[in-house]
Amino acid sequence: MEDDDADAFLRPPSDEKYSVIERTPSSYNPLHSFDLAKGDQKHYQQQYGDMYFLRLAKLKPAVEELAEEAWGDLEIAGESVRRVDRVLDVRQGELCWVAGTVYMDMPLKPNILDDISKDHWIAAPPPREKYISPSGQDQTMLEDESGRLRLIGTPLQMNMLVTGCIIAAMGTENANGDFEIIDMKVPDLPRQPQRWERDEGSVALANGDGKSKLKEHKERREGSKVALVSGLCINGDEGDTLTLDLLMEYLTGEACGQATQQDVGKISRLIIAGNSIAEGNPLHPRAELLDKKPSKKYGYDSAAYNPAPTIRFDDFMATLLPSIPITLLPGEGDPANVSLPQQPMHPALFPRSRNYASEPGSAEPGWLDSVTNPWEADIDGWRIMGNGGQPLDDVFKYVEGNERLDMMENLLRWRCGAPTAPDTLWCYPFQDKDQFVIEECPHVYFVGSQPAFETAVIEGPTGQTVRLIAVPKFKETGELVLLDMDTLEVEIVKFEVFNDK
Amino acid sequence: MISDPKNYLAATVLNDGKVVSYRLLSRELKVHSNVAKKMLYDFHQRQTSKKPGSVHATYLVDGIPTITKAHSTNGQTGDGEDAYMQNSPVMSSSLPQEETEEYTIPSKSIMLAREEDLQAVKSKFARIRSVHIYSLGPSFVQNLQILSECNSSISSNHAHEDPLVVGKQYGVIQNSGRRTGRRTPALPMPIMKSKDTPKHQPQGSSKSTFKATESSDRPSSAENSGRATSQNESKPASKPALVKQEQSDISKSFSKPNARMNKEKPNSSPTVSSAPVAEQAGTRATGEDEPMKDSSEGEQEAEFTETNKQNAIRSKSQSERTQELRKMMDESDEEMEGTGEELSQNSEPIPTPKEASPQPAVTVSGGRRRGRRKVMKKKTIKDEEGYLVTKEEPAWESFSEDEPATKERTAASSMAKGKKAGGKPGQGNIMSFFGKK
Repeated sequence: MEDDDADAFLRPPSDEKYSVIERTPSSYNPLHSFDLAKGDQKHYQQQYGDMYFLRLAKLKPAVEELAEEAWGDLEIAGESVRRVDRVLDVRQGELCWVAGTVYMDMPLKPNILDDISKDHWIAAPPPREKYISPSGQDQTMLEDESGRLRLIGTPLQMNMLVTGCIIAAMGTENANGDFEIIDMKVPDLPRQPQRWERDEGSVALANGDGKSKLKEHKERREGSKVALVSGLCINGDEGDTLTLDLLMEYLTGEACGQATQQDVGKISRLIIAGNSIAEGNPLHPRAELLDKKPSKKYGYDSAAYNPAPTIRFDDFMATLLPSIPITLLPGEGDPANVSLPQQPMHPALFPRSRNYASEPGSAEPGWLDSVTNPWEADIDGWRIMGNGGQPLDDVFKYVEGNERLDMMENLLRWRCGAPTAPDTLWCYPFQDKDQFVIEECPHVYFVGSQPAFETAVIEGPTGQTVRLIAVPKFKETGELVLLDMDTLEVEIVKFEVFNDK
Repeated sequence: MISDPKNYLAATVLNDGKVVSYRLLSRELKVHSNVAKKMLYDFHQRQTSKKPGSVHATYLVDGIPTITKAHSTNGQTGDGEDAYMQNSPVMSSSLPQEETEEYTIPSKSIMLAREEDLQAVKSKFARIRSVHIYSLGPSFVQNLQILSECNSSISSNHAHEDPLVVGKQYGVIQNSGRRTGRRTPALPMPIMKSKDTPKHQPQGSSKSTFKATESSDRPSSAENSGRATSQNESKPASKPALVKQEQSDISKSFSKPNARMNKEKPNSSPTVSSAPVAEQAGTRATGEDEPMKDSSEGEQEAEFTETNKQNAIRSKSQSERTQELRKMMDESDEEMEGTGEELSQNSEPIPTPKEASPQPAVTVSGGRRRGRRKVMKKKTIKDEEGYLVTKEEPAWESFSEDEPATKERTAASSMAKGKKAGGKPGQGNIMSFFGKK
């Protein structure tokens, strides 16, 4: 079936005038939750232990509230369930519940203490896809500042657990000293802000009169969409960038027919969720560095650096930016720091696109907004939260199966965006606050650089609904995700080059 | 400029054997991209009716594909990397699946295909929203990837066009809310300038622009791209001057004629033509740097030609000022490298005594340069309270050209030395400026 005007461009040129398409504006209000202090204010001497403490302190009340509700006046076989404050206070044979941090003791999980004690200074084994031990040697522990309990019982098989998430467990300690659990609770979704809540709040704060509110409302255009893409993996080679070109032409509204061009005009923002540049990470294997003779040249050695990927990416963005605002998250391979939260890629990397970045120190977000990973913002009133994929990829190693959406859901229900940090995921040693704790439930939660596109809607206990989106790697799938900002429905656009031979 | 699409396409596709995409055509002929698509079609029709097979087209098909793949299944895309140590498969767990409703995700597909495959591609679509010619080429395109050549030539050849101005003409979706945070005329351009032409840009003109008034920095940057070739020749000559003071003197004497020639050139070929000329020269000289060229450069040149017309008289004093600035820049570079002193002295046009003093006694004997120069040496002493205190004290040391790079040497004259080894005059100058931090 073909649309009537499908071959509108398969005609000789006429005098037809094409009207200028105006792009739907984007209401954009980023939060700077994951910005780290700059320069001297940023320290790495602190111990990571504080993070676990802070996380537990923050989430324990939430999970205890839920547990109290569920088990408060529960009686099993005539025995009422007692609440125990600390893990160490659990008495053998007594039915009780306790909250704490989960620790997964997995023999296959990398362990720095093992490496040091066994003097393993050989080359690291290749990274594992999963830490799960096939022979079932994995143990689940519940710990707090007082001590540790080994957990056993069927609920462990029913629920996904990774190191670092906070749960409340109900059960009894058996003769072996294991805590046999009957039921468990996770903190579940936190409060979800209303749409436009924050924007209205800030407007009201700014100047309580109705005038600017009007202006604010004008921005609330219907039918706007946000495009999500991840894993562009630009490597600067010629020869495999055609789908990238198609993406660019699609987004600028040059490709395709007029109906599609009109649709594209509704896309109000592009979010690039990590891994824009392939192999942007300049860490070379040690052997390679040793082989290399020290350069006689003073200073910058241009041979050691390949500028092509960033130039190509800069080109890509500079072509799009006149037409569409871009939010740029760093990812695993991008030229940003490795540990989470990754700080924004510096605009100086993109000499052409940087014109559109905000001036240093200005509060207003730039037209090209280079942001942290993870990152959250209010777009068109919705709270959007996302990351470049590392937290999810790390959780993936702890659990069985491939259900990425389940893992995403659990991240939210644990209220922790990166539970496995700092155990197996590199992160900044937070001191005052575990920034990965999710305090407000997002409306949209996306994770970049996933093997395939997936989406679902989950619901929380107090009516929260969250749209989960696993954004696929564009390089492998050619897929762009469009998120409708009225309904939070998603659709995908796939760019392909037909090649039979 | 060839404005007739038939002539242009005949010349490019048939004669030069190049591939032309609708996007490239719209840029070349300054028409709406939708019109360009039709032009391609028109040309394709005429040519194939005249001589079938003389041009080969690729089509872009946009629509809704027939088979909507069941998304939200498991996410395993055969990652055949043996980098992973795969554990033995675990039994699929009985995770209580939340209702991940299996509804079909609306999906669109945009597919590029050769004309030979067009029917096969069309059959993959349940509904076709549009079909148009993407590109025309003289022969069967073995590897479609070469089509991206068209876009890279746009980004190199049309970079000087301001996308904010011409975008509308090509049918790019407009955005009135657009903010360009830094698009103030003074700041971004000079910075990018230095990125564009680092090779033939020995004296830190990028730095000069920070202090320069607008009128003076424009001629100097236009000079850079316009006179790139001649500077390339002249600069190495000035290079051997190891002592900074001397270097700037020599470069002064070289650059003076340059500046004058420059000044005359735009004047003699006024307005429109001079911009492309300068542009081309720049492109040629930069070679592999092409993609870096950017719009603001072009703008700058365009602006330059305009102002130049108005300011033909003023340009004399401008070139003098450029001169002065350049001298100033040399100084500041030295200070950075040699002593790490504050840049605060930059504003003095006359060399400070410190810079002047190293000048004496550079002799050339047997092809080697020898001499004495003043360097700042670091001295670390323990004071009464037991703290380590580092002081910088001036000291004289002798040097010769082929002496192995000593510590002081690298500190003091790394710039000159590294430069010569690399054969890229001046670049290290800028880089070491950044490297210092």
